[in-house]
Amino acid sequence: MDPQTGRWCNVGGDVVLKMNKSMKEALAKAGQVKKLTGTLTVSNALKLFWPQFVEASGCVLRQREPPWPEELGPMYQYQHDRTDFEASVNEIEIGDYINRRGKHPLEDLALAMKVIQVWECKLKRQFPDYRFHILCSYQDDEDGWGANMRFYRLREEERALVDGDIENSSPLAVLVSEF
Amino acid sequence: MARGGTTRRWGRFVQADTIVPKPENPQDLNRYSYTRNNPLRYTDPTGHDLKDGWDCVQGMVAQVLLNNSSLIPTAREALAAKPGESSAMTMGRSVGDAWSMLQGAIEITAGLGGEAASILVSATGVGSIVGVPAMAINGVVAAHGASVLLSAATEAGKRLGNQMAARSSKGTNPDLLGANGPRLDGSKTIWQKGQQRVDVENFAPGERPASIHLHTSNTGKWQYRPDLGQFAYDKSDVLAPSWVQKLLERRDIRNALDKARKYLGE
Repeated sequence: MDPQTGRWCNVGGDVVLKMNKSMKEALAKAGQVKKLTGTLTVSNALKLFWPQFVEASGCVLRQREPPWPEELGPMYQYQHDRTDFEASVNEIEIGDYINRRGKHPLEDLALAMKVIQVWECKLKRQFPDYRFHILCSYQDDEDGWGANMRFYRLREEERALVDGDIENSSPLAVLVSEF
Repeated sequence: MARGGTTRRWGRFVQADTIVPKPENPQDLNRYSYTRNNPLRYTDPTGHDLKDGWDCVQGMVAQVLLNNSSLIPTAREALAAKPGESSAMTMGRSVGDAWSMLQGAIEITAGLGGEAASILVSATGVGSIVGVPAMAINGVVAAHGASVLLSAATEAGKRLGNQMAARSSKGTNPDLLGANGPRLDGSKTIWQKGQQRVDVENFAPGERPASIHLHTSNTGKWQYRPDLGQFAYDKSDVLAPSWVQKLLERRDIRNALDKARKYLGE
C-alpha cells in the first residue's frame, strides 16, 4: 500500500496520479486518520462505494433518483459541453454522506482516497474503452472544509477540466487520477 | 485605467474599481478602497495594479537564498514559490533571479581569474604554498557561482513557462461568468453551515463558465444564476422550486452568494 495516498492497487496498471504540494501535505496528515467519526448508513455507503454508472447522450453519469433518461432532453441544454455537464452532475462532497457533527476534513480526505480507487475499478470495468479523470479537491480554511470528488470522461474533441499545471495555478489542494 | 481619482475627505475612489486584484483578500473586495487602506505600505499608481513592496522584497530575498542553497534541498523546498503567491512576490522572485545570475557570473569570473593567477603563482615553485590552496578556494568560488547561475536560470525559465501556460489557458470570452476570476482546479467552498454550503467552480476562466452552487444536502445542488438572480436545477435552464428560491431571503445565503460573485471577479 502506498503510504502517502493509502492506495492498495493501480487498476490495470495505468492509473496516473497527479497532485499538487498542498494535496501531498494534506494526505500526509490524512494518513494518520485511523477511524471515521460518525456513521455511514448502508444507503450512503452504497452510494459512495458502489455507485451505479450509466451512459446517457454520450455522457457517463452517476445514477440518481429518478434515473437518468437514455437521451438527455432539452431540459439539460444549459451546459458548456459534455465534460462540463458530467463533471458537475458527478460531483460529491464526502462529508455529505457521513452522519456526524463537527469538522473532520482529514477524515473526509482519507475516505475520498478509498472511494477514488473503487470508482476507478468500476468505471474501468464498465467502460473499458473510455478514459477518465477523477478529480479530488480538499479545503480546510475559514470559508469551508472537506473533500470534494467528481469524475468526467476524457474526450479528444473537448478539453479536460484540469489539463495544465496544477502545482502553481490553484489555491486548492488537488489530486487528479487519470486512467 | 484610472478610476476618477480619490476624494481627500474620504480617501476613497469615487467610482468602484472594475478589477478585484486578489479576491481572496477581503480588503480587495472593497472596490472603493485605496491601497488596501494602507498607503504607507502600498502604492497604486494606475488605480488597479497594486504594488505590494513588502511582498516584492520578500520574493527577491527568498529567491536569492534559494539560488544559493543548491546543496540544501530542505531549504530550497521551504524557499520555493508557493501556489497563490501574489504577483508582487513573483515579481520579486524574478528580480532575485536576475540578481543571482549577476552574482553567479561575478563568482565564475572571479573564481576562474583567481584560478589562473593561482596556477601562475604555483608555477614559480615556492609560490605553490599559497597557489595550491588558492586554486582550491577559487575552484569552489567558481563552482558555487556556476550552481547559482544554473539555479537562477532554471528558476527563471520555470517561472516563464508557468506564466506562458497560465496565459495560454486563459480563455477569450470576457462575458463568461468568472472570466476575470482565479482558476480553481476543484470546488471551493465560500460559505458553510452544517450541510448547507455555497461553492464556486472556475476551471478555465473565460473558456468555461464558472458556476456558483448552493448545496442543501447530498442530493440537493442548485445552481445560482446571477443573470436571473434565482436558483436553477444544476446544469439546467429550469428554475428551482419555490422552497429553494425562498432561501434567497436568508441574509447569510445572500451574503455568501455575493461573496461568491466577488470571488469570481464579478
